[in-house]
Amino acid sequence: METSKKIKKPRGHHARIGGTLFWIPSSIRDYFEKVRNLDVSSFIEQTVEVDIVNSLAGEIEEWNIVERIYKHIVNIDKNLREALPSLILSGFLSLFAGYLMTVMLEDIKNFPGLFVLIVPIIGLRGAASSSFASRFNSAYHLGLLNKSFNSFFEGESLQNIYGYLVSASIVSVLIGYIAYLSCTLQGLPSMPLTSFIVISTISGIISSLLLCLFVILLTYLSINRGWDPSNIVIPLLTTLGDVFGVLVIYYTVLIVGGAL
Amino acid sequence: MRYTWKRIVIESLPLLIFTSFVSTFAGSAMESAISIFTVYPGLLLFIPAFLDGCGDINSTFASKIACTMHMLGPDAVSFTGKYKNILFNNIIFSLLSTFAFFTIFSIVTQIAGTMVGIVFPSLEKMLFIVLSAAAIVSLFLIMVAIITTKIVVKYSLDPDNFGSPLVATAADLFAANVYVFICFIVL
Repeated sequence: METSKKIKKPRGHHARIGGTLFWIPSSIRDYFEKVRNLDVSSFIEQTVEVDIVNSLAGEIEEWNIVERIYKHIVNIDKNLREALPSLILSGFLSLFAGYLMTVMLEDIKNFPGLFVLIVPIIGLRGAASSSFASRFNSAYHLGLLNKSFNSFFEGESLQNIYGYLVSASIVSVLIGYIAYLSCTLQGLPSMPLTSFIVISTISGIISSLLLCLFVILLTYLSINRGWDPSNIVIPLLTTLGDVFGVLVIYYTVLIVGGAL
Repeated sequence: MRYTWKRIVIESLPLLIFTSFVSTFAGSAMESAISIFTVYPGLLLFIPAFLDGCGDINSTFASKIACTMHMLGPDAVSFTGKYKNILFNNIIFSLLSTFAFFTIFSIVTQIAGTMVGIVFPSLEKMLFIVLSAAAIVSLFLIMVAIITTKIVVKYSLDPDNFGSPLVATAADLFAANVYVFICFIVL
């Protein structure tokens, strides 16, 4: 009975196929006509036998799933229309990070190995900040966050902030070691280990603090405007993380570079 | 309590250290190409967008096949059988996005960059470098996504937890190296 209730929901028609009456949802009708090449042109309004409906239930359910996949997941036109504008917008924001790198090019030459450091520091936003934003998103859907700004600094949300800042700070220090090790292993010219660690620690911690603030503000705004934070925060975070990362490294090198 | 700062630190550190280590190889590729970037800074300008574009498009692909697999079962991610068209359509979408995005983006970037005085290789060379590098990287990442999903499903694990993160990490590692390699060949 449960199965027949489930398949009576969609719009459809009764149809005679090979002398037997079927109740067929519109999508299934297309399926029989176009895929199976069966004749379902003669429609007759009549109550259908429950066992016939049940015999088709598995196929109908499977076809409905396939139809949903084609409509929402592999609809190439729709996906291109939705994906391209956001990709291009995100690409233009990334260009700003690229532009900053071209401005830094002279400084980069004076600090051999700086590129080896830049990529992982930028990459921190992908791994640490996205997880941080994702935990806020889960907290919101679990009811741990609400429209109050104070709820971001209470209980588990506060633990989330501490956890993000502590792990990002530890990794910021380690990235200095890792980049130096990577240069040494690959035989690339590199600045002294101290320079790697000072630049990675300062820039890693500052960019993590900026991104932390950014995630909190954007999540707060999303919740208060009724948007799903997962659709807004993470896509913006990955792109703006590039810009923050390169910008902070640039100023760190400018300010402390002379002393190294 | 689900989240404590200690638990977050303990669970996230290994992955953060691993991805940081992998990212240094992308940085090394860029470091080795400083001589080319000095002559053509436009190629450097393009790198963050190239890495992000490859990562985003192919992470989306990984997410789509994981979702399809959840809805239809392990057979849904296969080059044969009744669901093969779903996989082929996903691959076509991924490659079309790659070519459409990088073609439009290369042309616009070159025009805008040249207007502000940044030096690029000729448009044909730029398109050749970007599109050939993007095609190689995308095909590689598509295979990474498919193979990862199949292996993960075999061990009854959730492909959402592995496909996209692994594709993003592989994009970091692979995209910069291929881009720089093609630059060296062409220029």
